[in-house]
Amino acid sequence: MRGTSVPLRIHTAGDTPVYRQIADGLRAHLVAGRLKPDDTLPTVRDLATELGVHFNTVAEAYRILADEGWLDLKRRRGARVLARRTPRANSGKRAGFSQRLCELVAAMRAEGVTEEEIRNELNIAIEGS
Amino acid sequence: MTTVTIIAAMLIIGAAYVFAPRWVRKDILFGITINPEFRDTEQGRQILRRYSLGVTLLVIGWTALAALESITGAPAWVLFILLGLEYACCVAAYAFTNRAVRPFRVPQSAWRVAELQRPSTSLLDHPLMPLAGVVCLLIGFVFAFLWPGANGAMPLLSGAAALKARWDAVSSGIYDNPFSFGVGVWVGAMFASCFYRFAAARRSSSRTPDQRTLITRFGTLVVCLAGLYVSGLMISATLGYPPPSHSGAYLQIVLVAVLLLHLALLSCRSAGTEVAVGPDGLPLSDRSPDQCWKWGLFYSNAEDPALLVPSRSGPGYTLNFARPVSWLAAAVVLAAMLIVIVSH
Repeated sequence: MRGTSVPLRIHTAGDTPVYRQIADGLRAHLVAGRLKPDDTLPTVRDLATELGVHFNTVAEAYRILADEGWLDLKRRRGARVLARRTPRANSGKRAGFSQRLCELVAAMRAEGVTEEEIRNELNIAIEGS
Repeated sequence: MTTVTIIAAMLIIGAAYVFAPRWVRKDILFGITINPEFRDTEQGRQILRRYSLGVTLLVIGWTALAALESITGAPAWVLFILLGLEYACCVAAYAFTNRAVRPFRVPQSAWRVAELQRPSTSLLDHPLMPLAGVVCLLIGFVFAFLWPGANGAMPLLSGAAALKARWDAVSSGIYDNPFSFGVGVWVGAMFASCFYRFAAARRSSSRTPDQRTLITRFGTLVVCLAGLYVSGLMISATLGYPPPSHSGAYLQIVLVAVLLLHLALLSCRSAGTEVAVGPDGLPLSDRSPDQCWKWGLFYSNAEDPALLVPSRSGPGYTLNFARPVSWLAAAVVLAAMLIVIVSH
């Protein structure tokens, strides 16, 4: 039994595709340990109904996480969280992440977020995960 | 004993209204879709604080008045009216606060929140909780059948009230009428459905919608049958020992049976509490728009085929008032209650 809720929030009018938001949101919970191995996630149909999005959108997000080794997908029985070993990031992936981080920081600064605020947000994100 | 039952009901209604806004989804406050962080802001806390204080004062006031009336020997119908007024005040406080939260509404088309895992800090989440309501009813049955002086507070208040009722009956030699028993069974069934909903929500992530619908319907039916069973036994006990003190008691027995049958039919006729899904995989109706929830409490959505839907403002279920049959169902319950009170 769990003591706290594990909410998944998406912004349907945002720039990021919804399936990416779902996958990212789930991954954040998985990395932070809020979703533990053997936990069962809602079925594709349940989650899609609750979020008001198409089933294929949720199914795509689940497939991404299954490909990453986070989930075990079973037909009509939802998705089960797997105990996943953290892989070693290769240099190519590292470079990709750095690039995305730089772009994100640039976008934040362009919108008027100060360096101090960006540092705080990064610290919160690291501590939260 | 009627006084104890009504004052207990007043306190329970008050407590439910005070705590319900804190127990519902984080993105819903008094039926309004908000940013989940709003509750933790100063304004959010202030709204909740004022509402809680207001309802608490209302409940204390009406309960004190009921106690005073009972001491001065007011008839039972006065206490029922006070109970109704207290309930109306709680609804009004909720509706008033619903208006206060409206300025903080966020566009529903943008933010969506789903719970991946339900919180389970409370006892209500225990897997055996669906049985709790039935157990309450059975406790009521045991006390009622073994000690016919006991009455309807039992399913709600369990043994203590039953013993008190038994004491009253023994000391006064008057057998309480079955009205309050019927109310107790009714409220017990309602509570059982609430418990069941909590448990069903906890299991929701591990079952398919078809399985869940089946379980929910089966559970509701079991609860209804338990209510019917208990009331049937109580009716037998009432008719057998000792005879009802006045002719109105028979009418009340019939009405209690009608009310319970009505509940059973409602649960069977309901198109299920699940959101229906079209062949394209998209939900046919959306229960999330705030416009569907009048005052944040009453559901009205003509596109939704379901008759009973999970309440947005707390545990339990509510009728879909966009369907004429719902008004009929509510009218039957109200009419039966009025007849019972008038004939009391």
